Amino acid sequence: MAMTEVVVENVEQNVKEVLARYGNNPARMIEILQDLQDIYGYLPREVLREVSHQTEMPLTRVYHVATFFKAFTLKPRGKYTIQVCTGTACHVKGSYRVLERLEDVLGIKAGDTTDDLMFTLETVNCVGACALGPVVIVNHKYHAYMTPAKVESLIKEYREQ
Amino acid sequence: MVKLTIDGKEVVAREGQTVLEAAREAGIFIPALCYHHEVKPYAACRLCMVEVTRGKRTRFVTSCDYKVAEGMVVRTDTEKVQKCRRMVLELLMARCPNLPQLQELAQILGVDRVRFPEGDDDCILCGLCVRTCAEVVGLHALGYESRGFHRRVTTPFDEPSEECILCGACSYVCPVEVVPVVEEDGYRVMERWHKKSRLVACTKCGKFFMTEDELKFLQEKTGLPEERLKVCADCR
Ligand code: FES
Ligand code: FES
Repeated sequence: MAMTEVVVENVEQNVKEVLARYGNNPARMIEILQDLQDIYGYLPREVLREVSHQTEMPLTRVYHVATFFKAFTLKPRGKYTIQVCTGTACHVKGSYRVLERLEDVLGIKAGDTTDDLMFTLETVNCVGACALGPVVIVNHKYHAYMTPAKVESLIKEYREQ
Repeated sequence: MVKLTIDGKEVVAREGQTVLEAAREAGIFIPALCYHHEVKPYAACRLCMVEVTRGKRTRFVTSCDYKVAEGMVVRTDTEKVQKCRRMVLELLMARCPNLPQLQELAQILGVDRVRFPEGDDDCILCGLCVRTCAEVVGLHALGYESRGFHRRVTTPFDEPSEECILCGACSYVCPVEVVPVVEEDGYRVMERWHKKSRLVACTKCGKFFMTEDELKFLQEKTGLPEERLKVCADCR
């Protein structure tokens, strides 16, 4: 699979706009980074550099905030985020086998993104739908009673969409 | 002047001094890994814990960032303090099993085993390199990444930092000596920070004595002409 290049555009302008929303106050770094992640889907390096540049906050500090919180990601994410519930109930019902199968089919490990930027695979701990376990969520859509056998057709379905 | 007692000994300290500094001046040993007099206390390593009694209250504090006060009673030698130090060191040793400096301390403090799963890190996260870079050199080449188990000291994105001038201050302060600086083939190299810079020779004696990045930094800072800065300390 060829590595898809991500184009990161309008960095200077976007950062400027987002900063203005928060009165150019670097103490609001978390909100600033959240908004920028909404725009780009992740936090590209050039965006963090620009934030540091415009706020005059050392890049080391911006980088620390961006890596401190799990809600931020510095890697581009897939078009679809697949979350496999590995909470207690789903685990007991075999979610780890579903996860293994997904890792096989996609050729990536949990936490990673496919090179074509279609899928990001993640685990979550209990999504409050234990009776439907094992639960797999794709971009907020819940797929109940997942089995390893259903994985391939699920992926195919999204690939073709 | 502030009068206090440390381990039963009357000690006179200066206003604003920390308990650690006062103890050291009085010749009382307190282990400390993240303390350095040139930078602000950070209380990260937790090795310098002591028992402090003020009035009726006794508590455990990190002595490196705890200020002395009149009439204060400090104990560095109680069983509780010893136990606490040993535990902290044991945890540090679990994180970094191969540091001679920790093993040496283990001998002194009496730690003879590590009961926690061993990691393979060599950084105790004391933050001295980060703080020295920022507070002494005035640059921000180094910082932290992530948190908890995954916390690391590094340059942003693990890339060579544009700010780093390879001055080596971080290497100098590292209490466990894991930031080597090497000079070879006309370059100064710091592998850990993925950076190298060409060395500049003294115009008088011809010896290499600083990096090109340092020279640029000094020029900007001092505004002095290059010819003046390119003479080493011995030839000046
Ligand atoms: S454990 Fe999966 S939804 Fe609760
Ligand atoms: S020296 Fe006080 S906590 Fe490290």
